[in-house]
Amino acid sequence: MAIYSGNTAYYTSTTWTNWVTTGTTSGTTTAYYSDVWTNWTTSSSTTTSYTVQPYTNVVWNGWVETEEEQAIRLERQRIAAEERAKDLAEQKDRRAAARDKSRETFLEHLNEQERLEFESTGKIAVHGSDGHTYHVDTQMGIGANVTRVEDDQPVLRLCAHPRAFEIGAKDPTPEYDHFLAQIITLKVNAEAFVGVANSHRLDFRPNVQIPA
Amino acid sequence: MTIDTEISTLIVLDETGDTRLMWDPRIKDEVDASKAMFDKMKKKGYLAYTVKKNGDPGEVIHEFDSKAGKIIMTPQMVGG
Repeated sequence: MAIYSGNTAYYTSTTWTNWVTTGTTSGTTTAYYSDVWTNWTTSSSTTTSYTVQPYTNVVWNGWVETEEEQAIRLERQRIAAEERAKDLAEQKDRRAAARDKSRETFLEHLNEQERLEFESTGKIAVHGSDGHTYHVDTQMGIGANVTRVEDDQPVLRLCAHPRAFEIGAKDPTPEYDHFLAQIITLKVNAEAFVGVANSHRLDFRPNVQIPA
Repeated sequence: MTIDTEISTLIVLDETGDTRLMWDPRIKDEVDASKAMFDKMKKKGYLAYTVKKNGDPGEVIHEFDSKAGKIIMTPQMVGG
């Protein structure tokens, strides 16, 4: 926008620059928006150094808080941070204990052959109630870690496991509980496992029949 | 004379690893407490399996069986 005064056109930007320009003995120095803000939010001393309070909340708190109130607020923040750190440490210990306990229960329910497979490869062969053989791979995490095998060839990858968090639980179900639940379900009710699982065919040979 | 008493166990897989309840089938209070836990977990959608003496899973059960010996309850399966 231009403002005319005589023969000179003054643009808004020019006016703004005049507002925010500080003169020196050797001419003019243009200050930028940030300089203006800094001047508003700094306290000068007898030297040329400034204490910069760049954050809005700092300025706001300075306006509305007494020193005593600020001390109380900072103390509350310190206590909250301490409590959060303590909660996280407790959660870490609790989950580690749950994992150890679930591993013991898992091992308790493997037969000798399965335990050997677990200890040597982490992959356990399970004879499903539907007559198929499944490999439960404990090295792959809980997702898509079950494979149906036909003639030593993987033909179907299956992903089914207990919910990561049970309703109302603070912590996730430990992974060895997932593996045990997968093994039991395959042994007792493989049809139900396959029925609920997301499955991905791995063998596309036309003569290999893979039931849905 | 010794009395051969088989203590039964209910194992519920949960966020703590597992929770175990043991009961003597001859003691009504213990049976009732175990049945209450069984029913509570069934309402949450848990599946219950009997466990054979050799440790292999036996069969799916839908009602609490105080003479099952060992029952293991697993959270419901979901597709991943």
